[in-house]
Amino acid sequence: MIEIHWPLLLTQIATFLVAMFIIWKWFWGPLTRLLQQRSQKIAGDLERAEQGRREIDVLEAEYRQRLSQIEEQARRQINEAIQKGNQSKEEILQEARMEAQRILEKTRMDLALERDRVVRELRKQMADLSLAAIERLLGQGVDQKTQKRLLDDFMLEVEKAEKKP
Amino acid sequence: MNAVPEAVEFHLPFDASVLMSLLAVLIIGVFSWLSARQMLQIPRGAQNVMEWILETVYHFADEMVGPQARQFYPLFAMLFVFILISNLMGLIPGLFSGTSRLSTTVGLALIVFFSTHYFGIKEQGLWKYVKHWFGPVPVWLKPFMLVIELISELARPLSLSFRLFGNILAKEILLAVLALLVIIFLPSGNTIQELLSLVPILLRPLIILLGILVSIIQAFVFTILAMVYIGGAVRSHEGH
Repeated sequence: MIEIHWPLLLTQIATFLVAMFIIWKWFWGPLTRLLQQRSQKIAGDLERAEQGRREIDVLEAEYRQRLSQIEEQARRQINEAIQKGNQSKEEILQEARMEAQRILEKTRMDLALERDRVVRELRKQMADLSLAAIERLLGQGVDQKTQKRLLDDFMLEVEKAEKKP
Repeated sequence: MNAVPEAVEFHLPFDASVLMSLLAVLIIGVFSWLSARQMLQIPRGAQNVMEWILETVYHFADEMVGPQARQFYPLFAMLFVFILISNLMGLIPGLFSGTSRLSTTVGLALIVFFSTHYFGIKEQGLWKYVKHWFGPVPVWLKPFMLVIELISELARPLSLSFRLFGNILAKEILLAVLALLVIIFLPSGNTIQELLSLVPILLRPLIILLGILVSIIQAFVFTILAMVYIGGAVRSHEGH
């Protein structure tokens, strides 16, 4: 058991080497190549995933930048629109105020004219009525000169009465 | 083993260790065939186990030998698996470990020994390879260094072979002695001896568990040392 048999030893060496050659050639060699291919594939996949992640990061940064630009632009446009709106509003209000003022003045003018016309009309009617009343009171006609004098006196009284508050 | 003359090995016209080695090779071959049969990208079953073993061996080889390790993958993988299977075969009743025979272990150690020097010379050239045996010492010390280095180199296959042989033989003898004690004590008719037979009956499963551990460790140690020796030979010796 302790001694060495050289033929046996050589047989063992030959057995080992032949078995190693066959098993490596048929089984372990292909399996090792498969392992290497798999580890290369995994490394490649990881690299691609990492590259994809980096690209996503870049795209995300670009997207965020563009989004902030768009938001800024939108904010600026909204502000401009608000300013323009306010400006338009002021202009419209100004125009409306002017128009209202114009209408008011025209109305006032019309009212004044109308009032004057009514006053004149009233005066005329009152004069006619007054003359008719005088004629009835006196029982006779009044000459034109007297008529004018009475009318002027009356109108003077009326104007005085109008001027009293 | 001598205690059981009915064992198969005593009736064979040749040393049964060769038969055990062939059986180990057959087991490795069948398991390897099963593992490499389908070549799945996502391994399962035997392929998974075989890949795990090979990757473990390759990992250690890469660490010990360096970039040149790839060319030694077949040797290291076969050394580890062959020694492991041979060691474990001794735990199966009726079989014994081929590695419990000195002829086997010396054969394996010689393969490592010659591989070490062959690949060392191949990688570095004869002069550079021989030069490192003289060491970085003054000229008058160089002959002593050569003697020391040669003794060291020759001691390597001895230590490799005797370590494996001694451990595995010890495991086999211990299991055989425990089996023998049961065979002697149990049918003795003596109550004390019958009770004593309980000790080996209880102890034997524990020793088998220990045997599994020893089998794995010894296969690992042998392979790692082979990697260290070959790695040391093929790498540059500038740092020595």
